[in-house]
Amino acid sequence: MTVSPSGHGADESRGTQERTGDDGAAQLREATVVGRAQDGDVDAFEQLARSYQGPLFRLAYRLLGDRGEAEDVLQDALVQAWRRLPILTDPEAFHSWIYQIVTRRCLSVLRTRGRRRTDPAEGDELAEVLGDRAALFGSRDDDPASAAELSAQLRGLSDLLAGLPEDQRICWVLHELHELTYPEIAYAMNLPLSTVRGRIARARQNLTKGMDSWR
Amino acid sequence: MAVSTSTRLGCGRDIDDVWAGVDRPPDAHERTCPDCRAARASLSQLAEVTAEQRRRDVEDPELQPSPQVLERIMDIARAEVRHGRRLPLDEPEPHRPTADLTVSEQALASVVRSAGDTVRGVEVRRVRIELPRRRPWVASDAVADDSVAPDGTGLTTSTPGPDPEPRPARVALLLQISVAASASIPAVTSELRQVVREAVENEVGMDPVKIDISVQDLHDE
Repeated sequence: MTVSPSGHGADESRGTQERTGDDGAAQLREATVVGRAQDGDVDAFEQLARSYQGPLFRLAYRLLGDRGEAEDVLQDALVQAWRRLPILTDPEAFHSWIYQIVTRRCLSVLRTRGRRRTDPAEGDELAEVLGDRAALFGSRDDDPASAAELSAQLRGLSDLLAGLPEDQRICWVLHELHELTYPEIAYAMNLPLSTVRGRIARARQNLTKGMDSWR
Repeated sequence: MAVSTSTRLGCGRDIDDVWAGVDRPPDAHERTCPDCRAARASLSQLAEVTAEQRRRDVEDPELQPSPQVLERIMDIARAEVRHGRRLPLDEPEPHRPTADLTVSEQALASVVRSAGDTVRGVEVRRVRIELPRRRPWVASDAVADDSVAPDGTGLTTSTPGPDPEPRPARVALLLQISVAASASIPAVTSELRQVVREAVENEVGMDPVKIDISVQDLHDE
């Protein structure tokens, strides 16, 4: 049995139940798995941890740019979630709640880092990794010319993203890559909704401006 | 301090709305409005590349945590499993106030969940466990239990005699469940009550005197 965390995307939808083909076992809705984990069912918690580890790691990696730090955040956040699950009042809110825990931990790492060093882009291994990956993925496409162009655009977008002011980048990543709603982002970052809206709008402006300059 | 985020285009339309509609064909206004056409052109490239980035991030093995992280998380979670209270398996009696055999709340809840999983259209979310207040001890219980007084006088209270057969401990359950929208709630709750009663009696050896079911949600199947 697995649950799939997801945003509002077309191919993954939150909290739907599907039946698996072979063993006929029911795939439980996420709220059910959360409720069981709240009751202390460690297997249910493992299902949640298994399905959220990818998205939450991607978020932390995108925000921090460092694998080791992102893995530490992931581990701390999920352990904290296990300990605090009993106080979560609405099992449907798990998705927003776990994103909040990870986001706040990332913010705390960034704050600590800001006090330690001044160059935020220093040693951003993520940008390098994604640059290489974009080239690799591109080579599989049928049309080499457009694939190469897409790869270049992806690399360019990653660079532009890494160059955004931190507050804009975080809101953008949560909204566009993790498909959190404005209220969910406001909750995760403890900000007014209008601030979130403004930051995403400015991020979008900056990114479009950056992309327009490619032409 | 309010900072203008200039989300309005010259034509008055909010750029958030243009963005939201960037992956569908332009509407009547967007086809003719120069502000909207320019905005759509810029935004559609960003939308396309962002969608591709979102898709590739999910597939990219480089963007997965190493397997050791989940192992460490689960090691900690298992070390900190909340077993809950120890529940007596035998009903406490005046002459035997402490229980020798117990079961953890977690183990009992697990039996209830597994039983519930056999009922199609039901998902047992949470299981609340209560021990009902002990029945007031009445003399007739003792007489019934110690049916043969050794001296035939019926004065059982003065002679300890053999221990009476212990009674299974009584337990009250509250199940919070989600029911498939297509299922009949009375039918599935009745079936659920029956399988849970049997499982608690047979697999745990407790007496489920009360099984309350609260339907918290309906789900599509």
